[in-house]
Amino acid sequence: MNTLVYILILPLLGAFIGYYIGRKNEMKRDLFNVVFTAVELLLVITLFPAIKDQAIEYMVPNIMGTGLHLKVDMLRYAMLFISALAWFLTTMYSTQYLIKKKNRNRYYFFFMLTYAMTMGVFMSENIINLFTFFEGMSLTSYALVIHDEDKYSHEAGKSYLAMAIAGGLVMLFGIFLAFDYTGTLDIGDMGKIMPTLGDIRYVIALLVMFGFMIKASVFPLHTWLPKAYTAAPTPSSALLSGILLKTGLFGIIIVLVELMNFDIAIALLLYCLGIINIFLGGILAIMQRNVKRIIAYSSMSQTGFMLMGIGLVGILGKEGGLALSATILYMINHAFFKILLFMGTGIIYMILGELSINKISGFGRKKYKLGIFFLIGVLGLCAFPGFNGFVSKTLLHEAILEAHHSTHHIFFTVTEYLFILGGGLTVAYMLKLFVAIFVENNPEFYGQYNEQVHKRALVPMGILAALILCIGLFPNAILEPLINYAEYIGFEPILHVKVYSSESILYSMISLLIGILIYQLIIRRKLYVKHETGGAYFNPSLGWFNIETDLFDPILKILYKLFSIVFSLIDNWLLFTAKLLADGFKRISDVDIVTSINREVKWVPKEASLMIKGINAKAEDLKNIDPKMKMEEALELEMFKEQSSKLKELIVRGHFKMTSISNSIFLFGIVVVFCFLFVYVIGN
Amino acid sequence: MQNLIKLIPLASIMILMLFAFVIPLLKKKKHVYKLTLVIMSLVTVINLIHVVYIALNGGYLFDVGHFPAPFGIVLRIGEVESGIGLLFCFINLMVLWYSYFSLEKEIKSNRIGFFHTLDFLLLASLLGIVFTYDIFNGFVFLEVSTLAACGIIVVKDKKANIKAAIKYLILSSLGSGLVLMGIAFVYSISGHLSMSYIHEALIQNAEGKHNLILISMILFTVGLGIKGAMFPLHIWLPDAHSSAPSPSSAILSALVIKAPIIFLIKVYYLVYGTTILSGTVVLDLVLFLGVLGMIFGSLFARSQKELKRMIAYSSVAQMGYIFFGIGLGNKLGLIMAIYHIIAHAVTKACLFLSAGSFIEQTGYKTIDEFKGIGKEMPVTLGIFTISSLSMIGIPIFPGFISKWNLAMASIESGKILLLFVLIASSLLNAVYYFPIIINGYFGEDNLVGKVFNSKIRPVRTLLPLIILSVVMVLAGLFSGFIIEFIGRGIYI
Repeated sequence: MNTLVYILILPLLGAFIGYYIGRKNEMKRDLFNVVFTAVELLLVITLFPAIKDQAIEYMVPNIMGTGLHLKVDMLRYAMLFISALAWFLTTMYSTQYLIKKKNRNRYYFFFMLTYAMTMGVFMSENIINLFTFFEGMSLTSYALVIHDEDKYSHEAGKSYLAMAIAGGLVMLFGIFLAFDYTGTLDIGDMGKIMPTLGDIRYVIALLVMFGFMIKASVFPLHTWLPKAYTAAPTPSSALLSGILLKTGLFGIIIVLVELMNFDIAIALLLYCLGIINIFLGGILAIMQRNVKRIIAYSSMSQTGFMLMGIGLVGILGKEGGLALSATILYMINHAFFKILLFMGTGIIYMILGELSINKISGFGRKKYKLGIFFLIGVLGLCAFPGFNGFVSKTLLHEAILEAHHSTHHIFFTVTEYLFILGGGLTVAYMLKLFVAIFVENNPEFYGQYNEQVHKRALVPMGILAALILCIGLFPNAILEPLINYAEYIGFEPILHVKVYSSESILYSMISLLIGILIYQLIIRRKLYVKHETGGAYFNPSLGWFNIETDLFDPILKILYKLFSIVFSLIDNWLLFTAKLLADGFKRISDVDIVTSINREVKWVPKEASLMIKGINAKAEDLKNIDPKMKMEEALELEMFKEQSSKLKELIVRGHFKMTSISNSIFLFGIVVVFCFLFVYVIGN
Repeated sequence: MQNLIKLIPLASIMILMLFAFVIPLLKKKKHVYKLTLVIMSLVTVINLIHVVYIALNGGYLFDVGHFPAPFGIVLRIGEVESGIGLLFCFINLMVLWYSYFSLEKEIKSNRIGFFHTLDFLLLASLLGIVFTYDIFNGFVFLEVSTLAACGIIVVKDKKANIKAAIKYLILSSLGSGLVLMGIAFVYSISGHLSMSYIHEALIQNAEGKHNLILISMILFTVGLGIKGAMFPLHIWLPDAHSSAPSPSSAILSALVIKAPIIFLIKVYYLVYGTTILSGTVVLDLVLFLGVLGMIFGSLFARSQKELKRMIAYSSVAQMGYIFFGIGLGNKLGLIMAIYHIIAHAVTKACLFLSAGSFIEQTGYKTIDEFKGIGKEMPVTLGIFTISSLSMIGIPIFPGFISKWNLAMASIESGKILLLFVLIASSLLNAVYYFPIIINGYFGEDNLVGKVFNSKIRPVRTLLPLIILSVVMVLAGLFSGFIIEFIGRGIYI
């Protein structure tokens, strides 16, 4: 056995053991879960020396259909590490958050199952294993999304599950195609053959990426995101945004870098989608009033930045080492500050049960610990110098400039400006959130509830805040292994990495300034209404075009209508022919044998005619029985009358008729004849 | 020692037949249960030993009564036969164990001995069908199995059961008639009844007798297709499976429709052989009907209101997968057909027994009435959930393994369009299984008035179900070994 297998199996075992303990004693279960996730985190940390300079692989043949093939290199390790850390911290946090919720045992069960599946996603080298874990993760996290089981969360869950399953099926089809063309399932081997294929490789790549894009909430597949993040309990939202979103981005990186060998067309597509995501997410985040929704849309906007980074890796090709390290770092950073922000929001929700910023404004005033942690998260997200977001954004900016240098295309200059403007949007919506909660004055909350903010919820936030500062102040410690990794997998060496320079700080300040301007000019003036008792934000985007209800739903409905019309035509035609056939058979079987005998036997002796009379009498009896049988049939049909639609009723009635004993014999005959015809006509 | 082990196939048939007639002599129900469980465990254990022996030493031919082949009856025991034999014994053991706790609630207590007699006869004849190398011997066992199966349907004497049993009897007799005619045709060409001898004779005299061979092939396909619920001839299945008592439904769905398919595969590959088969389109016919079954079985299942009927129609769809695998005509397809026989047998037994448990504890029948059942019977619905996930084809579970490999097999044989059928049928499966699970576990208004764990049976009585579901998950996890084992003994 190998450490990799232990990492995969431990959470799976933990889910069941925890469930068992939890049925007896909840306190012990909470303790067990925290210790267990800590052990897992330690396991992941001890793995670091082994993978520092090379990738390690491990094969378990003959299980899960195609064998289990695990691999860990720096990219995968980075993802494993943030998952392990995030789960450890959110488990600790959940023990506090869930006190008032019900079904805690079920929650932890699925919580740990999702953990195991996520670890699996990040470690799989076999694409079927990857798919298995990815789908498993979607299904287990469904239970987390709908944990509250009210109407809203069920709606969100429906959206989440439907898109996950649709994405999974599309992806599976892509995998089938990929296997058909390459003949292998290992991502490494596939990556050697895929780039040599013709245009089919684009079809494969897009199909496989479709599922990942849904998880990564790439426009226009992001519709589930705001609902699911808002509906889920806060620790789950934190994981959804911090880690599960990354599985999507991770998959996109795998497809672009390891399968397609930096294909420029797909890279450009991702780059453009990234820009759309930044702006759509950012603008919608500015409009929202629910804190969780603001952070949810912010996740979408941040995904855009990471997508741009992934796109740049493809555009720069062999020189994209910096872009790759920047993107991985961005993913790590985003996990840290997004989880921190969600945790802060969760504390507010835990106390007030309310998340609209109109109602909770001023809550955070004089709550210094919470305020400082939240501020660190906000500054990290806004890429303020000295915080981790600054490092990744600077490197990404650097990579855009590099792309401009190597191509001298105006496109990259324009996108550079858009990138800075996108940073401004981030600052604007975060400013709105922070000012509303922590700066504004509201006597209702003045200094209250301080005692309800418990240490166990604050400690994880403190750890994350410290990490954010560490990465911000000493960026080289984490950059070095990432850059080594980029060189190790075949990128050109990266010569200069300088995070803090006058230029980078200038760009950051420009973003900040744009953000403040947007806040002052648009948010305060256009989105804020003042009245006697104070003021309130309103959300103009509620009436806007909604992709899900205005586009996807009608298309699905129209498709459904069309199909049901076509199918009802086919059905009716089938039933019609079936009825014709059935009537025909009935007529054949009703041919009165006795009367035909009657006609022929006029000359037979008296005894025989007496016998025939007897037969005739029997026939009369049979006729009398007939209506009774019909009554019974009618009664049985009554049972199906409740069927709602006419069509269903017709199908049931037709099916019932076809399967009655006498008709089934005719059916048997038809099938035999059909088989003979099939074999003889097609065979010759 | 070796000779003793080689006696096991015949011995298990004989033991079962013998004790089938001992059971009616016992007066007390308790004795009946004890005796049957002991005998079934014994048979299962010796079959397990047998499988281990086969895995180490490979297959062999066994002459019954020391008469050599053309005159005496021969059993052909290979990897596939021994594996399927073990599967049948194991599932029957689990079902009987389960019925120990529930049978009396479904049928009259004076019928219990009768039920066990029939069950033993049924299992013995099914094992006979699987093991035999003699085509007429197979037919005889087929007839015994039909009658015994009718018996375990009608053992719960309600009107619906009698009607269903009559329907099954009539259609099955028609099928047996065709099989007998097929045997007659084959005998008239070759003059033999033992499969290997027929094969040699057919290869030598194939000239000019092409049509006769083709006719016999179609007769076998349709005749055995009726017993194996091939799509348009499945019409007896939903009535029979849904009206029978739950243990009977599990046996019918898991075992009775599987044995004729093993026989069909044997007829195809041991009697006719690949050379004759590849010159005809019979396999394409099987593929076509299999595809129809996969789609329409699921469509019919979707429109059902009764839970057991829905599961029965789902069997039709799953049998479609098996015919699909056979119809592809390549090695992987055939292996997966047999793997799916194993996967479906274990899964469907779980589904029927857990559905039976719902019905027995609540008294309800339709799907709508089972909303919120997860609050009352969480473990049972959990088993139901795992099994239906396997039916849908969620990775790790055996259902996914067979779907995946069937997809691989259809790619291998160059029929890419079939992938759409596979994906569509998975989707359809999801459409009718998921609502039951989701409505069972979640939804505030579904759970109103339900009390946690109120109707759950003691874990002791659920143990056979739990063992079955664990075995199902293991069959998915260690599918590599199973597939490799089947592949060693496959007939191509």
